Amino acid sequence: MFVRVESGFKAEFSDPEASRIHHKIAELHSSLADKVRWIRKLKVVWMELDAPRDKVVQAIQHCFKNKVTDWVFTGDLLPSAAGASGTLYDLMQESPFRPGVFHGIEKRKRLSAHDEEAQVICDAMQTILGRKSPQDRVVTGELLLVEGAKLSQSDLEWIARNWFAQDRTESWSLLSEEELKRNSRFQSEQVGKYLMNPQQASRSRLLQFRANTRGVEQDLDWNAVESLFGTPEVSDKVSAPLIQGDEWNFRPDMRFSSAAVNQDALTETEFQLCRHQLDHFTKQGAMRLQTVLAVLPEKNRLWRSEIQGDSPLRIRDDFETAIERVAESTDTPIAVMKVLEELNENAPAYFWTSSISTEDSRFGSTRKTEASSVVDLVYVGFQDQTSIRNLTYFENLKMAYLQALRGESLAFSIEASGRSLLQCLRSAPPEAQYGFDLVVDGVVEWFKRALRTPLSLGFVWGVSSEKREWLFSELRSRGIPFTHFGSTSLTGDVRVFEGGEVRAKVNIQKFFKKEASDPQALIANLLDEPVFVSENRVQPKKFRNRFSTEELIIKPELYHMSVASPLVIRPDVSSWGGLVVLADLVGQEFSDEYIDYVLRKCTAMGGQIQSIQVSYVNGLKSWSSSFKKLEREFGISVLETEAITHPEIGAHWMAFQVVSKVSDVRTVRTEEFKFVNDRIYWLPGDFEQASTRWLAGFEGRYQTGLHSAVAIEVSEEGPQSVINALTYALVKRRLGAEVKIQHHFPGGFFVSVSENERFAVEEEWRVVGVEFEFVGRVTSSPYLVIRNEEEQVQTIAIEDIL
Amino acid sequence: MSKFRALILTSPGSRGERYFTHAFKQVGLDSEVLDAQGILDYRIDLEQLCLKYKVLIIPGGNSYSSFLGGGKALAIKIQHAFKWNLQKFAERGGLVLGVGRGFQTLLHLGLFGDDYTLKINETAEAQEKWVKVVPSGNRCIWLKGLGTLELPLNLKDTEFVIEPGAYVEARGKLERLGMSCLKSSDQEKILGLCDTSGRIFGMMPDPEYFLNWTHAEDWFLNPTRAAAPGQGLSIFENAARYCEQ
Repeated sequence: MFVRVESGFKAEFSDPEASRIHHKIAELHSSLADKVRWIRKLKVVWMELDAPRDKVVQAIQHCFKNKVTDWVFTGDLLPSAAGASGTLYDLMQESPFRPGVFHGIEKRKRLSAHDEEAQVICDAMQTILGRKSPQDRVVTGELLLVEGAKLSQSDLEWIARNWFAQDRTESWSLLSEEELKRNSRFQSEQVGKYLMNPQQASRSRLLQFRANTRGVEQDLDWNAVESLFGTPEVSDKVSAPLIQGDEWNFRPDMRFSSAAVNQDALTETEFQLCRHQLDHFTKQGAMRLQTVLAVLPEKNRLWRSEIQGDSPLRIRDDFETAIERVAESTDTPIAVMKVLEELNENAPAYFWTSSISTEDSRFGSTRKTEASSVVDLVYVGFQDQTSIRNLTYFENLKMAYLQALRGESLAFSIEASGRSLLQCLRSAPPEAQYGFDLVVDGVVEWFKRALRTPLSLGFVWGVSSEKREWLFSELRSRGIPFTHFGSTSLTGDVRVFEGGEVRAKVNIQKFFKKEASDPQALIANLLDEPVFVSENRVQPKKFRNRFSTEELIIKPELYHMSVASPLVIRPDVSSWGGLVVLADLVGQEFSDEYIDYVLRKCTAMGGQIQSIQVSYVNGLKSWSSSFKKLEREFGISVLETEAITHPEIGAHWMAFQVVSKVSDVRTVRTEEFKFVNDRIYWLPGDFEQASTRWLAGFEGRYQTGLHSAVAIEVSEEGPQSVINALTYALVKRRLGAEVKIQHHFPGGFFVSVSENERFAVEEEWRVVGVEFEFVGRVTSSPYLVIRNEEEQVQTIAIEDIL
Repeated sequence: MSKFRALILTSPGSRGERYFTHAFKQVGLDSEVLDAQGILDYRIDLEQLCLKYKVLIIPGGNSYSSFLGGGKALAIKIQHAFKWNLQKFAERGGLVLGVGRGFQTLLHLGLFGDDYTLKINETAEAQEKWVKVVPSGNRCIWLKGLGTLELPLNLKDTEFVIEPGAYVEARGKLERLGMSCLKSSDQEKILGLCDTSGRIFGMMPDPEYFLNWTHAEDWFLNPTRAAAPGQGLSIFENAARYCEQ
């Protein structure tokens, strides 16, 4: 059975530990400490015990009850152990300020964190019950009961974040006075939520994926998935792989799944697993990395604009292309899972995951030296077959080769005799297959010929840059001709340079594939006319479209999509998840703005950062310094999981993940009008002002009375902007509205308020000094009826807009 | 060495067992240190306890990190895992001493009734100081013949609380039943409690840390007494004397 136990000092006793917290708050934030008029601390324990109710009650009595000084709150299990009412109300009654405004801050150990106290309590309970069961689980935490009429939500968050909870090991949430007085938090479902087995949860999430993906069965080999779930290797600490096709070999993977973003405790578990698994692979000399992209519905306003060119499908395509390119160029298996969910207001409609891995055997065995993976490409030998004169040449060539080996200057050596340059490049070892930069200055003709026709006796050498000059002088002294024709690269492309500029660029896989089908055409394209001219992405300078309410507080000036683009999703109404996956293999640079963007997004609408984690493979110092700066400037602790170093890969990877939650979901508003007969008001201001005023919760307390808030786009002229805003708010639920527009609205917001709450909200607007104007009402008929000051009526059918 | 043995029962986080061993060695009693798991491993039940040992010591320290309250986890072990009834142990002539958190363990076991407990002090920090204590009552074997003592105190839960709902009755019980107390020199605070048999005694100060005069903070002010025994040792001498009677 699931049990929640809260214990604390009786009302008549003082609570020195709570007072101590109060003193500490006063040291750092005296004005906030003044707002806290009374404070109490309770110990909270969540337990799942495999025992009958009466025995559990008896055990709790033995374990937690201290008749003299303590009250024990257990819901309805042990009412006699608490005060008169059996709830925290008894404790609140002793507050010097009554009736008072009470708040609760609850923290609990994350499931992944080591909880010694839970172990001791579990052991004690099992001792009393007289049996041990592996199913028994205990999680411990604390509840801070605070009284203060002037305390705002942000104050409580500050206390929780800075004094009460350790973000790395504990999660926290705020409880309202009603919740504290009621005993619903003791119900089994509520308690069970905190005690979910992370491994089971991980599995269930995958199965949940599966249930939702019946529509795309043709994309996935579900039989294989089923069989994998049945295998003993998938029993624990392993997230079952997401597979496609037959080539995939099952092995444990690291996962940053979008579902994990949803649950902070589990996310941390995932990260722990990632780290261990990465360790495992590192020790074996291999790297496997799986990245996951979660994309919101097409209609979601975070990416809704076609003008910006950042629709979910575009994002997915770009990401997919990039991942595939890397995977192809490294010749590694790739697994792709596509999940389509039902279009839903609050849930994402599109998940997309991808995995890259590198087989154990691919590194080490083929590598001749410890040279870096970017090496110079040199053809050693006569360019013309007829130029070979005598045996001295062969001897010299042999000696130069041995000399080069002794000098450890060769990364690889490919025998070129009888093969074209293209074939030589194709047979280059894997670490040279990330891409090639070919420099054709002055040797265009040779290139044209060498790529097509067999070369004479010679080698294609991969020469380490440090030893290059030494080796060239060796070759010169022995009279061996050579041509330095380029270098390997990490771009995943074959690029042709002339005069220091990229003349042509093609994906390396296509380069080799086309060679098989039509080499002539490829070479002609590659050398004669550019096949691909790289263009910088056009970054939108400003969101010129309507902001969603989620962006009231944040205003992303910079956003462009690529692998490096930060993604922020809102898996449900109460949480945000942000993810930055970065791989410099595709030429993206890391920017602090990505972090900034993700943080701003994740803290929108009162989101509290639950956890920030970052993982590196071959991480760069500059990345680390960015996160240190983040910690220093914002006071946010970043959990930097162990950095993996694997220099021979020559690539740098980073995954940065933020999980935040909105503690009070009632404060979450969306843009669309929701209910018939709601009153529509106009509030002035722009986003900059709104973010620091009433609308963003800086003043007053009745923001929760708003059902929606939609911005009026200022860039559009005349009444069109008003119509646009209203229709946009109406479209989603196919509602209509009757409004009276008596003058031109210079920007601002339309908000909807229910009839019942209008008096409270209007009163507060008056008190706070918010200018407002009643505009009209939401109606059930799908028409927008607009009257002007001369009572002229304009009717717009919502269907027409659609 | 004496045929009587003392058992020093430790638990994860407890401290001072070496000092107790030293103390008993000085007064001529043999002692043995066993942790909670050792008790279970050797299957020492109440009968075994009574046969093998004459004295049971429960040291202080953060037993089980003081989760569930100071000494509570160990009390649960004693009651439900070892199944020891310490009152019966005392009735069969055994002596019990709980120091610091060990005193709390005895309180949690209900050996002094269930109207008393220790509560965290107002500073919410462990107090490290020397206290002057005065024994009151004459039944306690551990305190027999002792006057004012000065002993070190290192404890967080120093507030001796009597059940407010039955304060008068509980307070009177102390006197009526002749439960000896260890009080502060100003008689305001109770720092130790002995049961009616005089054999089960719990105290907040740590006598084991004052076995030699040099253990005192200001011993150098009186260096001629450097070789003298500390005041804490007299408590253990009483135990040894009782054992040999």
